[in-house]
Amino acid sequence: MAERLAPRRGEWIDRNRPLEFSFEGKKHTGFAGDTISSALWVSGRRLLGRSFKYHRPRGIFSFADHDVNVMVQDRSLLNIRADVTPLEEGQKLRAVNTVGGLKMDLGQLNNRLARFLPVGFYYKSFHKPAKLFPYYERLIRKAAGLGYVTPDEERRHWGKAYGFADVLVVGAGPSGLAAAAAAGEAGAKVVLVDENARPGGTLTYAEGANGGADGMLADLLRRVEASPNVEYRAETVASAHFEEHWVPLVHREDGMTKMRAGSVVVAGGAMEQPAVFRNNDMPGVMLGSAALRLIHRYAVKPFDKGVVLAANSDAYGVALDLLRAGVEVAAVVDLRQDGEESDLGGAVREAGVRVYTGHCVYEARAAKKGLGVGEAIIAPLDVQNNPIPSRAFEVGCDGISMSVGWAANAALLAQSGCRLGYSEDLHQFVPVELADGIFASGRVNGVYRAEDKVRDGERAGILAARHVGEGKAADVPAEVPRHPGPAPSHPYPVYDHPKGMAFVDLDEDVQLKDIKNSIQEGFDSIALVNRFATLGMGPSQGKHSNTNGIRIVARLMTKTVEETGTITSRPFFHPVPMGVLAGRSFHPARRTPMHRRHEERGAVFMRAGDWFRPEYYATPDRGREDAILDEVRAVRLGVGLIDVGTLGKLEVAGPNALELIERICTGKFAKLKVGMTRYALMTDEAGTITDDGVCARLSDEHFYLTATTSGVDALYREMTRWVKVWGLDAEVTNYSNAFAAMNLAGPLSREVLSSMTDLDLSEDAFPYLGVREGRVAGVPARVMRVGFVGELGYEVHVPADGGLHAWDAITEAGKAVGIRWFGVEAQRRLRLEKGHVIVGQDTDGLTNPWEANMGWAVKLDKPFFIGQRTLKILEKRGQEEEQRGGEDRRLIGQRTQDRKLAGFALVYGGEGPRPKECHLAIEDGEIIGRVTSIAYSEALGKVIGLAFLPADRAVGSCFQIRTDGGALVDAEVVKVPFYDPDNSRQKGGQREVTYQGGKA
Amino acid sequence: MEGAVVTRSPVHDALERLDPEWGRIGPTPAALHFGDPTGEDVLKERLALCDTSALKRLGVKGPNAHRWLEDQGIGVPEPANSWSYLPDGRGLIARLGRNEFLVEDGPEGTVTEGLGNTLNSGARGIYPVLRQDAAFALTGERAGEVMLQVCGVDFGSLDHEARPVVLTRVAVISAVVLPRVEEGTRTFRIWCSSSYGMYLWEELQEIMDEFGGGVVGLSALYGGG
Repeated sequence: MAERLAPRRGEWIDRNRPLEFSFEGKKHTGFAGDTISSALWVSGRRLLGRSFKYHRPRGIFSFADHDVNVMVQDRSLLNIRADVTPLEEGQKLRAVNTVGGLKMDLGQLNNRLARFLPVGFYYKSFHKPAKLFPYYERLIRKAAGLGYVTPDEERRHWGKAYGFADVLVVGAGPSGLAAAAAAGEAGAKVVLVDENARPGGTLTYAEGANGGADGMLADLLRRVEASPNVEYRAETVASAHFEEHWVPLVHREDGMTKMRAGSVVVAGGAMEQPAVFRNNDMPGVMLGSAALRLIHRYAVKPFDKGVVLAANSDAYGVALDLLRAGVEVAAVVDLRQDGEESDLGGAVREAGVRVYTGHCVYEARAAKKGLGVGEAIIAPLDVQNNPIPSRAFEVGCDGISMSVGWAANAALLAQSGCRLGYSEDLHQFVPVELADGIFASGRVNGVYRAEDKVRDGERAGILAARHVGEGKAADVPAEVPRHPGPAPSHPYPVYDHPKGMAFVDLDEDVQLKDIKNSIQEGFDSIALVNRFATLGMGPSQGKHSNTNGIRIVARLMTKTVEETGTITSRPFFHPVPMGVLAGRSFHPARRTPMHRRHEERGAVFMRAGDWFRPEYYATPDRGREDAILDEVRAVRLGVGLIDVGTLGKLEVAGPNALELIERICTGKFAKLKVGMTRYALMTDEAGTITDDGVCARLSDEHFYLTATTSGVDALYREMTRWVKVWGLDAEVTNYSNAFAAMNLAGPLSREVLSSMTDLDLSEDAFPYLGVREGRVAGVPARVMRVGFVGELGYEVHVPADGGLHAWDAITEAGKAVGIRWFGVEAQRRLRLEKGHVIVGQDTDGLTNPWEANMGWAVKLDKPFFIGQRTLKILEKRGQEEEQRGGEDRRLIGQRTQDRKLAGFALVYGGEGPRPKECHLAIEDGEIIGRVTSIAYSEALGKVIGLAFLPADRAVGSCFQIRTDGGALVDAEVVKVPFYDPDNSRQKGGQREVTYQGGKA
Repeated sequence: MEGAVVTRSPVHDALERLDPEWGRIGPTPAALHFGDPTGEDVLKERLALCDTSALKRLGVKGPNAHRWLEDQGIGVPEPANSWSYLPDGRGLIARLGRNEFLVEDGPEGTVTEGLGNTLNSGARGIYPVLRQDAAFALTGERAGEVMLQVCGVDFGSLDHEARPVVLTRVAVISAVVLPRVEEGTRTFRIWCSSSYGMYLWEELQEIMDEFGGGVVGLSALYGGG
């Protein structure tokens, strides 16, 4: 039975701070400093999790988050790595991936059905019969997930910050500490990170325990603490490496730091690897390093009676530490024929432990009561390293520790572009060629002895500092040779068993036989086995399985490990919670100066890019449609005010301002008089419409150009770029945010505005399409007479900080005549009645001006504008077609394209399904176009719209529109503008309006 | 009806909710204090956010802008993307590129007004730029940590003696950032589009709350009442 050992020097727990928590509904107590796994283990629990596929019982294995045997959920926090996550007061933990709880998990049935669930079975199943697939899909989805999302819990936010360092040192073991200290002392700004709660790495459980390194850790920590240049971050994982030494550092609580380093020292050490034998996943079977961590960091006795599986010196250190911790070591089973020749071997023998050299653990068997190990079946090995089952014998035990080898923690090296090679001396991958600015030290570099690791770290730290221009004067220590003597890793600790269940990958329940079967099926490379057998594809990303997997594939393919290659290590190497990846998310929002007023008036906002725009103003007892119609009516019959501050606004000034405008816009502006505006259309090199607006001439060399809300940023970028390319003497300034803008529209707009401006608004002094600069409500203003909504109207532009003042003043002045604010939807309907096109809504990424009925805005006879060349080619083609086509294809709009924007009205009276924008136009069952705008016009008493239709569809021709649900609605092509066809209203010439069949 | 023109900071509504002691810079209400001035001084040392939008500012650009500014007696920072103080020692001039400048007065400054009057004469190669920024100051010993949450520039590596100005993105929107250290206090002046003002203010305030900071008035930053 596990127990808490007597207090020991260097332990990580605080015995004065007991913590209560529950696991699977049962209460337990641990200490501050415990991890969840250590607290559970010491409380006597052996069943801590269930495996992914077969739901096999699992306990502590690597105790380093190199497997996910113990993955738990604490309310909304799911998939917590219990091995490395600190215990906290009040945690309510339960294991993930169970059906009905950990103990009575119904998923255990899979274990009994294992023979029917071979590797890749799901690739070959679940697709016949097809009608059952929805059922299969639900089943697979349910089985595939780990943990349960709890949407009702309050959302938790993790921080995300940028970080900068000259040198980033990954790993605070002896080599990492030495590297950080050396780089810091050389003058580099260093950030040192380690995934553990405390620094020291192996010095805190392995070398330290075997004597001789106690002072080493203290010295290293002193040096690091003494250096003001070194910042140490505990419990922080360097989870990937991207270009230019961009390393996301992940902290469980603080979230992610996007660290940009000048150079990186990878001192992540090595990950202990398991042996493969039958039932090597049983609770009680664990890595030797796991047993040592339990003992030295958490004062937990890993088991009472153990068998130590050995293939290196470390195993004998483990055996001695187990003995010191009061564990009965039933046997040391050494895979090597020669056994351990160092002093450690002698010490173990002197302690009376039975050592079996040239033997393996052939099988772990469960105790008669309980789910953990009850005995180890030990078999001798022949000279080819094959077990001889006939001579196997059993040794009673409740734990098996494995110390058979290591794998370099080299994922960051691989991701940074370093080349790794397999050392046949060490039986591990080591860096052969380092990438620029990347340095490796310690075990990842094949250096194992503590004092060597320190020297190796020292060297890496100095080189890393030099890489960023620091420490030029410091001597670079000589290169440290890789581990001398017997290899710390066994070349092939894999032992087959006819009954299977010899696991290579515990995350995904990948057995030795699965890899064999994969290769038999033709998946004959490590990359294919990786995918087909899901080797290394679990949450721990092959940390405990890739090395053995590669060895097995190499053996089966009769290749060397070097020839077999490695499994690509992709970011993120260390799984990062989605919440941390999301981090603090920014959702920019733009508000006009009048935003507060819109809110107060009950505006229902819509987003236009980042902007908030009132779609309409909600009115008590009036629904959306009625509210919008009220707003439309107010503009047609009286006066309305809309916030158009989101419009793009550019100022162009300088001797070449006109030249720039001429080149950017399709129309002619040379003769545009000062004080007048003109419609401006822009196309790209392909002749496609990109934007439109109004160009106002404020002086000979000074223009004010409006553009669409969504298009202005691109237009501004293009214009500033062209100024440079063409070498023009012109300045373009983006005033989209600097000016508030409002459109006062309706037959009474002049009355309202005249009461608060010093401008002469008379028709002669300020005609349609004029622009004037003056004051509105005391605020400096640019006022343009525009007609977008088809009524007498003034667009008032004022500096943004005076926007609210002007808005309030206009509103106040308009009260006497019933001014009404109107939103974007009313504006859309008003302009639709006029047949005015909205670029981006009524045009798409292919629309040329003729298709949009805007050929009148294109002047091909001027020297140049962007898109002119293409449009001339289109025109020429049209002329050629005209010559071939005869009399009925004379209009340029029909010569140059297959489609054209046409006005239409629905034939029906408003009953039945209402077509929407983007609904398809149908003729004789064929698609002939699509609706771009559609709305009910109260002024006309019918539903009107714009649609792309074949160019030859004449007014009066009919088509149908397919609505949601498939119903077809009849429509007729009609002439545009639908309303006030001679534009007399916007020119201020007509105040009466025919409305709903009568005059208003 | 006109009444006296009142202009407003883009974050006026947010300031109003904090019930400040109001003052006025020209036609613009400015929040001078939020509660106890002594407390604001403490906050300013630790971490504080201040709305400086009400300060008068002016932009000028064009090939002759540099020479024109010098003719007006303004010491123009020589390197692009750097800044210097105005002659009154309170305001500043930031060079945003080769030919573009941002001039900002201190609370009582009159430099921009004088420049504006001259600028409107329409000289060739000199173009006034209407500055309608949301402008903030983030100050205090933890200000750098807040900036790390919102901006990918390593301000710590900049040479503050060179008075750098950084055109970058803050909380994913375009902004001009002027980092400076004065009397040991680190301050980031930030200018962004007024339309994003409320958004950036709320984002910075939320992060500041996490770091134990708070909002201070203009008087805490510039002194006086």
